[in-house]
Amino acid sequence: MNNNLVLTNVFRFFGLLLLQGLVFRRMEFDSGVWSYIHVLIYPLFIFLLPLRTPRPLVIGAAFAMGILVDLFYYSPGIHASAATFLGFIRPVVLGWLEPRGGYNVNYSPTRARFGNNWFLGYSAILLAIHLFWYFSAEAFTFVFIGRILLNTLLSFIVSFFFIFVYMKVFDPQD
Amino acid sequence: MRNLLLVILRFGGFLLFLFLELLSFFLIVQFNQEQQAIFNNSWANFTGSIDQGIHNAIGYTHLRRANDSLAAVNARLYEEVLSYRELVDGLERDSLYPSNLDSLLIDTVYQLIPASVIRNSISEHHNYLLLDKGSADGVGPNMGVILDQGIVGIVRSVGRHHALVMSILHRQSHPSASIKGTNYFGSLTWKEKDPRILLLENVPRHATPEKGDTIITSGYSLIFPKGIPIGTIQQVDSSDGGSDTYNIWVKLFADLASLDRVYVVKKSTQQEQEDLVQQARDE
Repeated sequence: MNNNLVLTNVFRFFGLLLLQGLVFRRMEFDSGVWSYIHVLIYPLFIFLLPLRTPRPLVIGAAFAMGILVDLFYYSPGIHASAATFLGFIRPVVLGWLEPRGGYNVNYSPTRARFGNNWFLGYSAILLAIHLFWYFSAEAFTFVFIGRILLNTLLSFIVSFFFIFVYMKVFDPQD
Repeated sequence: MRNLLLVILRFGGFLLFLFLELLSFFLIVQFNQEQQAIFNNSWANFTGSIDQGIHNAIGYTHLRRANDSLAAVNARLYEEVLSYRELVDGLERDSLYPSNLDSLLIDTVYQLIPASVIRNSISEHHNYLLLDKGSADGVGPNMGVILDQGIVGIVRSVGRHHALVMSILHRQSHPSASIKGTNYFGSLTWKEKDPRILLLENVPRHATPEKGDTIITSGYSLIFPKGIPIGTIQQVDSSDGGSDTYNIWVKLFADLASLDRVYVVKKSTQQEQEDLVQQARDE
């Protein structure tokens, strides 16, 4: 990994953390359909880590991101738990979506490198997994599975929209 | 050593994942109230069902003794019913019979929910019991738990089929009790020595407690009915540095170390009384 790539990801880490903690945390309302929606955009950092990042580093970075987001949300452990699982499951999802020729491990899994459709599928799967784990950890019981699924679905739609916008605006190579 | 390193290299990601998830789980349960409550409840249900199983397996060994004591309680209750019936009968024939007596009687109705103790401790500073009845049977928080001769504790939290009871052998338990035949009362606390001896504190100086007097519930707390016998006075400490209260050591009638059948007291007006107290506090 060259220094540039490390720097890019460090910047993205703090950029998304602050965006999440200062902007999207405030987009939560108590009434109506909005009460089901948490806009989570920080998982994008984990989506975009370079392909050759060592697995323990992905998991560790994901945990760090989660626990820092938890500081903003006053919910120690909940985001951290979901993010850690996301870091763990990422290689599995990458395995499902592997192109015929295999990955070029010097790339990052971005829209610019692998195309729009590939990236949409990749980020949709990961985001859904992340949100489901997050809302399950928040409810801490599967008694309210209906509510968990509704939370996941509605939050998915809005979060995915913002992730899409982010990728359109910045369109990072790596 | 080499093999261990290989294992760590091979499964490092998974081990790290496992470790961080456990850490997150710990943080969630430790620092988030709602999730903590759910965890505690599930844990209580889990251990409760195990204790229940053990209790079911060996419960029959106590059947004989339980039968005997239940029969004795029945007899005593029947006697009491009879004496009250006679009393009411006498009142009805009295020309001064108050027309609102019926409502008075209904106001003081206690409902007793019989329950079995499936876990009990007497050795820690904070003793709790677990009962096999829960919200599904009408048990709710802050209800008293009694025997026919003595009090056991106060329900702290309930699940659907279990209730957690704070024993009177608990540092923070201070039920109100009085000396039979007088209105002097004090609070009963456990001094963590002997599970059969409790201390009745803050009884005023002008009371005249004698060794052997019976201690009963005062009825001033909203939890226990008035007049349940608790124990007898074993010793009266008056030389307490010139304070103006007595400390009275009480020997319990009940043996809290071997509890089986207990009764949860559901008072029909309890909610109302609590609401009134709460109102008074709010004002």
